[in-house]
Amino acid sequence: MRSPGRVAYLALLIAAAFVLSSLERALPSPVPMIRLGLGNVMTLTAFAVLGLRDGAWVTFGRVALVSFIWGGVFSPTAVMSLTGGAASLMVMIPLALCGRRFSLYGISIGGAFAHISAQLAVASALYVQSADLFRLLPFLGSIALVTGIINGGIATLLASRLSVFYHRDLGQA
Amino acid sequence: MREGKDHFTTSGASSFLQRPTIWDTCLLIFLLLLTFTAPRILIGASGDSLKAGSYIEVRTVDGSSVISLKKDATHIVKGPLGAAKIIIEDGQARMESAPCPLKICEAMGPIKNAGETILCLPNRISVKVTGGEGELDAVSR
Repeated sequence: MRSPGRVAYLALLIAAAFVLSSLERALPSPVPMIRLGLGNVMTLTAFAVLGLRDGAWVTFGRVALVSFIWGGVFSPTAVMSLTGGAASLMVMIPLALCGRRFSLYGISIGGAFAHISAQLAVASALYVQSADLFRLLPFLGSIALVTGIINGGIATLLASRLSVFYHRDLGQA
Repeated sequence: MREGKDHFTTSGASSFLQRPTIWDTCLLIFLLLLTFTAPRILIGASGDSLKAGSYIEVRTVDGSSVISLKKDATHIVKGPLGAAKIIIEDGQARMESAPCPLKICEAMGPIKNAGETILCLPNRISVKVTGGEGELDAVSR
C-alpha cells in the first residue's frame, strides 16, 4: 500500500512525463525519427526515488495518457510507443536489479537502446515485412546511446534533488 | 554502503549511484558494438551492397513494380497519403518529394547499390535497388 504522499509523487512524475512526451511530439524535430525521450527521464527518476515498480507505472501511465489524448489507442504510433516503453522497461528493470552495478546512466542507455530496437522490430514486422529497417540501426542506435547518456545525467540530477524533498515530505531521514 | 537489490528503494538522497560506473561503460561499449553488427547479422552478409544495381523495385500498398535505373526518368508513385516523386538520374534513385510529415525518405538521399533501400513508412512506399551489374543476383529477403 502506497502512502498518499508517495502516490502524489508518483502522479507528479507521470504528469511531468506526459507533458515532456507531449512537448516532444508537438515540437518539430530537426532530424526526423530522433527524439530525446525526455519522458523516460521521469521513469528513471521514479526508479531512483520511488522504486522500480513505480518507475514501471510512470512509463505505462505516460504511454497510456499520450495515446488516449494525442491519438487513437490502437494507432500505429500508440502500438510503437507501447512496445518501446515495454521493451525499455524489460531492459531497465533487470539492469537496476543487478546489485549496485549500473547507475542511472547505464540503465538509461540500456532503455534507450531497447526502445529503438523494439520500435524498429515492430515497424519491420508489422508495417514493412522485411528487415531492411534495421539498416537504420547504426545511425539511430548511436543517437539513442547519446540521448541515453544525456537522459541519465538529467535523471541523476533530478533524482538527487527530488529525493531530498521526498524524504523530507514523508518524514524519513 | 548499502548492498542488495532494493538499493533503488532505500531511503536517503545517496541511495542510488550518482556517477557512471565501470559497468555502465562496459554496457555502452557492448551496445555500440551491437549497433553496428546487429544489422549485418539480421539482414545477412551484404556482399552485394557495393555493387551498383540495375533496377529498383518500388513497393506500395497497391503492389510492386520494377523500374530500370539505367534510364533517367521521373516516376510518380501513389501511396495512402498522396503522390511521391521518385527521380532516377545517373543510375541513382532518390525520393524527390513526398507527402509524409517527417520526410525521412527524402533525407535518405540517393541510392544506387544493390540492397540499398529508401523507406517511407507513413506513405507505405519502399524503393529497393536490385540486380548487380549484368547479373541476376536479386535475392529476395
